[in-house]
Amino acid sequence: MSSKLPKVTGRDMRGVMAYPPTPALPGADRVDAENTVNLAESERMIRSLIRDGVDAIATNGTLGEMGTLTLEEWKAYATCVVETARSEDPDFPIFVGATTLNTRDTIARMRFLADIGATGTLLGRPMWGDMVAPIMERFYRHVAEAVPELAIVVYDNTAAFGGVIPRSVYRTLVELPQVVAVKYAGGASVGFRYHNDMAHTRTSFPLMPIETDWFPAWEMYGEELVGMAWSSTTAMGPAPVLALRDALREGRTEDARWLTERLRWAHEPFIVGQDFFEFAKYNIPLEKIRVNAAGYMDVGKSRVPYTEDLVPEVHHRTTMEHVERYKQITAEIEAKLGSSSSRNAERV
Amino acid sequence: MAQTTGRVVGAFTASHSPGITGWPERAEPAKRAAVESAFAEARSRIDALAPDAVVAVSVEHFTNFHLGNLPAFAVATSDSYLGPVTKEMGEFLNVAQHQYPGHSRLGRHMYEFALESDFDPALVEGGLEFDENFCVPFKHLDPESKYPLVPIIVNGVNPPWPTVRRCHDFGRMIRRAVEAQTEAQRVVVIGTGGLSHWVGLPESGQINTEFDRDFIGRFESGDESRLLSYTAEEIDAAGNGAHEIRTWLVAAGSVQVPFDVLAYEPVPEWLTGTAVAAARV
Repeated sequence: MSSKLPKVTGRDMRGVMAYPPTPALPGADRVDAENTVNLAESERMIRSLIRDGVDAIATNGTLGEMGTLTLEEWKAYATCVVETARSEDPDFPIFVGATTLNTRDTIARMRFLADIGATGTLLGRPMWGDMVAPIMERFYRHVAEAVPELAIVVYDNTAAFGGVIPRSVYRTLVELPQVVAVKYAGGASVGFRYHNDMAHTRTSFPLMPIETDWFPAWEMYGEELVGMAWSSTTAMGPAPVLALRDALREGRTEDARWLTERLRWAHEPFIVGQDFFEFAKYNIPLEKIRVNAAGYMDVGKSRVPYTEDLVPEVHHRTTMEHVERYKQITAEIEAKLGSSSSRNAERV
Repeated sequence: MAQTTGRVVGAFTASHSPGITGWPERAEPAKRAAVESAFAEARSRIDALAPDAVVAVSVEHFTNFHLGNLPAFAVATSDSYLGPVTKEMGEFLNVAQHQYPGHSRLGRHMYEFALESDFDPALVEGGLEFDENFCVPFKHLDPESKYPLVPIIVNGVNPPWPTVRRCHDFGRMIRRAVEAQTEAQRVVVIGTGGLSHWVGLPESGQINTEFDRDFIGRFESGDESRLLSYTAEEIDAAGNGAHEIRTWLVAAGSVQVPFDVLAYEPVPEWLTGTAVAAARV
């Protein structure tokens, strides 16, 4: 057994983990498109997020188009984001997705990530066969042991992977030093299982809630248990989410409550909060629509087969309403709370 | 001698938040005493009724089902049920992990009777495991797990929910099902969930005492028109967890008599308006 271990532990995971899309060049939505990753914008995106104050970045989940990039595109993108992050801060926690349909392909990708200096991987699980608990436990154990120097953020997405992570699997995950966090599925309904899952993980690593669930989780369990949240909304400009982080850290409870209310209000029209499984059908293009409309980064079109043209018009419309609300609360928060030193928007 | 058909001899309802057993000491002593005393009274009454089986109605907390497959109603027919689902959850809830006995024949009959009665519940023939939904109230109501259970799940956690009228009708169906079989002569129905609480939301820890007391009033009156007039939006005002009162509606439908609320305490430390009630059967 190798004695190598990741540079970070679950106890180190604090703050906001940003989940940006994978920027695409014009024509990326075509069936015959090749080399679709906009590497220049990818580099600018990573620098902007880091300089604006996010605490970690994870790429290539669902909205990060793990499932629609070719292997060569994925390698080029991974190399770009890791090298950019390293040039900004050699210790910045950068996680790149490596979910595939089988253990061996995932291990190969994880080795690639370890070689280029990634902190870790954001890792779902093979989903072609029904992955019952013993198979899931063995999968995560195998990949952790095969590439022990790479940290793992376990990716929990009930739509993509056909269900929740069984509690018996959490027992295995806490035994693996490579597992440093779980990107916990969003939505208020998950509150019903959150506390029971946390009974297994405790302070080993955070079960990261989405930013809109962060405040109640923090109120109930404290920073030791939920010190980190995940946020794809940061790709629309991270300031409101980072303002929430700062309020939580500084014990400004009423500010945190107000910021959460504002963030939830901004999200209200977005379909994800109303019907997660309807959202899951159009997850990738809807995320790109909202991110592009917000103007913080230019992530282009989503790739086949999950292209924008098949999104029902009503979802387009409500997504734009969500973006307008997000712009409004960004201004409100700036007016009320100003910019903290960690949120100075130094655009690249 | 011909066997007589079964009867619903009692019905009870109770809240089931993890804190009731997991951290009871955090509640104000008087509130804790009132709730535990009510549970003890309910336990005593259940024991006096000497049931052959308990139809236990609760909600799903994503231990068995998830958002992609969340039945409005489900009937379980196993011989036994593991609860809490893991030892760690057992420590969290302060309930020792063990097997709860199941009344599989009554469960199977209940499922088939439901189909014949124009209900279409999910059939759960194996693998249903318990979390606080059953483990918390049954630690108080049947600490030795001596009564065989027919667990029934009602969606009270994620929209769209079954209407309160449909839940009440489901309870009425349960009574007819019990009366149409001879395997279990004496049956108690226990509904568990609610009252007001918010789960995973910024309002967590708040209690809507106005809603709770109004609900209790309707429950005690036995006036079905008032009890069944709730809309989903009205329940929402008491939190996403308040939708669990559908379990109370099922229990009420199974007896159609007024209930006595043995205790009601708003307990922010348990994140829930906490109540225990018994039907005036």
